[in-house]
Amino acid sequence: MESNEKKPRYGMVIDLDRCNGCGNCTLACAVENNVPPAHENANERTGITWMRVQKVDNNRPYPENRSVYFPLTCQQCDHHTPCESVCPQKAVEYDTETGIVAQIPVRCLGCRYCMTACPYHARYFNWWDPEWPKGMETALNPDVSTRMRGVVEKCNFCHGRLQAARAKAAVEGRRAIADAEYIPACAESCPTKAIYFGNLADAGSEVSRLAKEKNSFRLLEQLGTEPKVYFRSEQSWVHEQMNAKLKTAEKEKIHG
Amino acid sequence: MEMNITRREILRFVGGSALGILLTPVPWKALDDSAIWTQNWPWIPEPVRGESSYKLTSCTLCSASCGLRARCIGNQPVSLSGISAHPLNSGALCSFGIIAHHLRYHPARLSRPCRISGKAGASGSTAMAFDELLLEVAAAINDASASSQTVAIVDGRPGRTASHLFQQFAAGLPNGKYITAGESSLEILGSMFEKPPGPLAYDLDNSKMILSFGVPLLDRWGTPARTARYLQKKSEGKQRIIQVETLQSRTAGMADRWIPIRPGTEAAFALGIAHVILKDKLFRDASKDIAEFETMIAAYPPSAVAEICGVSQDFIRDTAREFSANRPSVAVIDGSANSRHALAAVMALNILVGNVGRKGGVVVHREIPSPVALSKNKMSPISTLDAIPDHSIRAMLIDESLSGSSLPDGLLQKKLTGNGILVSLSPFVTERPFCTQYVIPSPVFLESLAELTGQADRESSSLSLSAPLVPEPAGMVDPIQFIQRLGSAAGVMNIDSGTTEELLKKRMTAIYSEKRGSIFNASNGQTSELKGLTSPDELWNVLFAGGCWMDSPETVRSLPAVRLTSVSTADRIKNIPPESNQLLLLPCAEDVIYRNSEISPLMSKVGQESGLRPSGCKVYLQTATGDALGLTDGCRVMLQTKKGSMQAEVRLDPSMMPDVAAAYSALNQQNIISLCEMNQDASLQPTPVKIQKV
Amino acid sequence: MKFQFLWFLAGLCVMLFIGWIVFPYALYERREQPLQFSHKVHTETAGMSCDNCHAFKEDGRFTGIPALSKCMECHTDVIGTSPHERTLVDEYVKQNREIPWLVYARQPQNAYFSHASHVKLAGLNCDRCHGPHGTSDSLRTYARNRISGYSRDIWGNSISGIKTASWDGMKMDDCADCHNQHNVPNTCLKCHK
Repeated sequence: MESNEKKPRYGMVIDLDRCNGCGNCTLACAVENNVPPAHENANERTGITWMRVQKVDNNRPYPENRSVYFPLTCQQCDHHTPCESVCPQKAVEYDTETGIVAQIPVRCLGCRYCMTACPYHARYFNWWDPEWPKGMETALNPDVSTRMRGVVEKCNFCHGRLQAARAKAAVEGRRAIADAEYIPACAESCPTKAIYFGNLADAGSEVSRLAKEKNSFRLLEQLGTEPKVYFRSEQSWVHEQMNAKLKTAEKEKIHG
Repeated sequence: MEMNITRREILRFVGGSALGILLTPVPWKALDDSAIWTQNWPWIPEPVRGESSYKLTSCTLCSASCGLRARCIGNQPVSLSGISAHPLNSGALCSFGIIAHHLRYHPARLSRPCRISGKAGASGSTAMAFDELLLEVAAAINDASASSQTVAIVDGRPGRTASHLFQQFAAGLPNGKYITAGESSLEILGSMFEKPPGPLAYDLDNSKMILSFGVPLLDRWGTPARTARYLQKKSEGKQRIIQVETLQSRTAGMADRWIPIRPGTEAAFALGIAHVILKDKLFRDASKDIAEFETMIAAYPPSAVAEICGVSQDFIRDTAREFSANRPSVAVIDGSANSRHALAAVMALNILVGNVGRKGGVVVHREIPSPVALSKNKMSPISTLDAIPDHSIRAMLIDESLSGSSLPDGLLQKKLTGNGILVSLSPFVTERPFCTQYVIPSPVFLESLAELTGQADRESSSLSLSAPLVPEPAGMVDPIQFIQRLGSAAGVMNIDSGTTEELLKKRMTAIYSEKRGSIFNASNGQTSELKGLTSPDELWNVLFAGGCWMDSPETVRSLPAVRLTSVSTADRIKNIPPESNQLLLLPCAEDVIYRNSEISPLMSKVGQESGLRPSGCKVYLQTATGDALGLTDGCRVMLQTKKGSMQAEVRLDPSMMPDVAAAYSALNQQNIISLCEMNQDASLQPTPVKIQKV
Repeated sequence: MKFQFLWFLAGLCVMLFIGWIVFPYALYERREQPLQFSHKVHTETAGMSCDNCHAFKEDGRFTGIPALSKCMECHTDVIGTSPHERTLVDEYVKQNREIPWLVYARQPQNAYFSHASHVKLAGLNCDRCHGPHGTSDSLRTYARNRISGYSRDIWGNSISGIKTASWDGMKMDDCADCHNQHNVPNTCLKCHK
């Protein structure tokens, strides 16, 4: 149960040894958050994938070459949140109640400064107005608003589901929600249960315990952003590769 | 008084107005309202409002029949998730299932029956009324009967009530054939006995060791729960997977061991393992007559196989030892992507370790009770496409209303006569430019009542129902309606009548009266024995709401005698000589199983948005191979084989085998296939290819 | 010289008139509800309570304005004397058509409001935000802002934006003010989706 003294800080631990790169998380996220199918001119950089599966390999030659897939979403930086600090519109806010870095697209003016600031490439710009194949727009999720062209959007840890969980608790007279009542679409859809989600401020939660294990790490820790998304793997090469120093910009190799 | 109105007066007026406006709420209000106006463009869709509820049903996209919950706003499903306690999928869905509720809106969805002219570049499709189409097809069928040509009906999902009606239809024609497109590897295994032991399936949940020849076990094959179950068993030391595959698929990457073999050498590898098993006497069952087989595999000692497959002899020996010692073990191979020799060689391994009819090996399912099968109307036996002579089918009917089965287009083309027609029941059009095609639209997932049977990766069969949650558009035809209407148009009278619901309810009654098996009730998450139910209606209600019936496993007392001669044609296995610079083209089988049903437009996000573009053919090469050819990642090239050429974009991948070019295109798979050499059985051979930068 | 000043004054007065009288009038398009409905009749005469029609679901959602099915629980046919009921039955019930109510409190889709937290946890009464609507005898005219498309109730009755009652105005600032008074943290995600 949520601690009454401390506010929750929601975070994730993704087990890279369990992820098989299936893409359920990417799709469930798009369904939950009303992300439209790609515009016909969209490419890897201009399409919108709040959650996207990337691949990293161990840099060994064939046949010792091995990869892991890692689902990449907003890392929900806890400290010196880069996107929040650069937004001229205050369209980004670190929510002190939950730890979620809130992106409010209606306030955004589309300068894309936050996209430049984000070291994880987790933010996406609506280059086009959303368009769904005829009829598909009737299957939108009412718990998340749609966005128009010209604004930036990103993962909000499915806060629509948090709001729904809170409303359910309120009807029952509770202020606190149970752990199991709030789970984002990606974690729910993962068939291998590679994504753990929960309250990092609750020392007894599974996420908290896993985050503290020695096999858990975060991306680009040296930047000091204190992301709340942890990754874990028992393969040491994964740690080495993913903790690699910042590479100079090269053509991004993205494999699905 | 004279009013001389000059510019000065006007300006003073304007000045006063300007000050006046600032003293009114107009600027602030207009600004505020305009800001709101600019954020509410009418062309940006808004979600509909309505009551939120969860409805339970089963997925029809493949035979895994996953139980799922649809979150509905009003009556509209807006998202899908698995039912956690469901024994078939344990709460997991695959990526196609996650977005299956969007399929109804796919732009390529058919709304009316049409006839598509066969020759490429011809007039294209003509919409027709269903009755008109039936008359034309019936005419072709009668023509076939009159001239002793075959009429074949191909069933991608055998075992349904509709399947039995198809069999009745075939029996009612002089040259009618009923063909299943199920797991052909298991069909071949069945043919290795004096008489087929019954419906076979891999009992993967209970296997200790799975030797997989390219089957994507951990990535959308069978139940999506497979990966989680494997990881759990692996941590308990209860299951290992050895993946024998040219490409490092996701399964190969996650398996306990990946054995990369040269393209097309699956049969040789399997025979090499058989060689070790027999020669080292790792497992012997005197009851089997395999003398002919033994003689044949003398030519495949580890030294020879190592050379052919490009693997070490140790791999071959270790695998053989593990396969025979770590029992129950099972060998699996994907029927859709391999030649018959490869299928036979791998299935022979199952015979050798005696796992047929045993838990954790290849089990024999019981036939699910079916009143249609027992009615007075005869059913024709099950045939295979192989058994039918080339160019003898005048009319081929294909039920593709439920996706998830692979149909070998190359083989279909071979079996049709020159004026042969193809009649396809499908929600979407499938490109088959080699003949005249009639397509009849069938309902999409969630629109109609559908019956889901069969499990190729489970200890026993199951039966589920997919309940309709949304209205069906006008003009859709389901398989049962299709065959009944076609039957009466073509004068085939011996088909059971009744609506889909009536016939399915009869089946419930038959299953209920057998009193065997267990049921899972999705509403309360409980599994219990079938005989605990009070009526067939209760069974219907449980299945109608996302539940399932699971048969009790068959205990096999004795099997028919083994006749391992179908592998004797192994001498026709192509040995690819280990020449360097011989670049081989390998068409990626990824997603080919879903080629005949369109996937939701959101799927492009998994392929990074560019995968579904028309020019999206990608060819994967080992980095060193690419460098040697002077190619860079992302450059455009021309693939040239003896059979043709096509453009593609290069992707350098360090996990690729050197000298192999794996080509994949979501939209143009046909083109890639046409570049490859084809075997007699219409399976594809890895083909020598030249790659040049354009 | 004075005449020149008069021109200035004239401009000033004309604009003040337009700004304070004409603009508020012209800004709003007046529409009538598709159907007249009397809360008074239903609560007093029929003895219903608010939550008979405006109830919470188990999952925390609020029915808001009930669907036609709720009306049909009693009005499958005419049971009273009002001509409005006749309209209900003829044009909506018999044709199974949802009534296209014009919602005074309609918020844009990016705003999230949970009735559950405000009614159940904060203990607010309906009239705190909706005014005496629940005891009204008829539905007032719906005034639609021609520019923004939303109801007059959102900005508030007065064009100046000065509130006369707690239910006058439902903009973000109104919610934020009340939150500030009650020490509820004003984070974006509380009210946006």
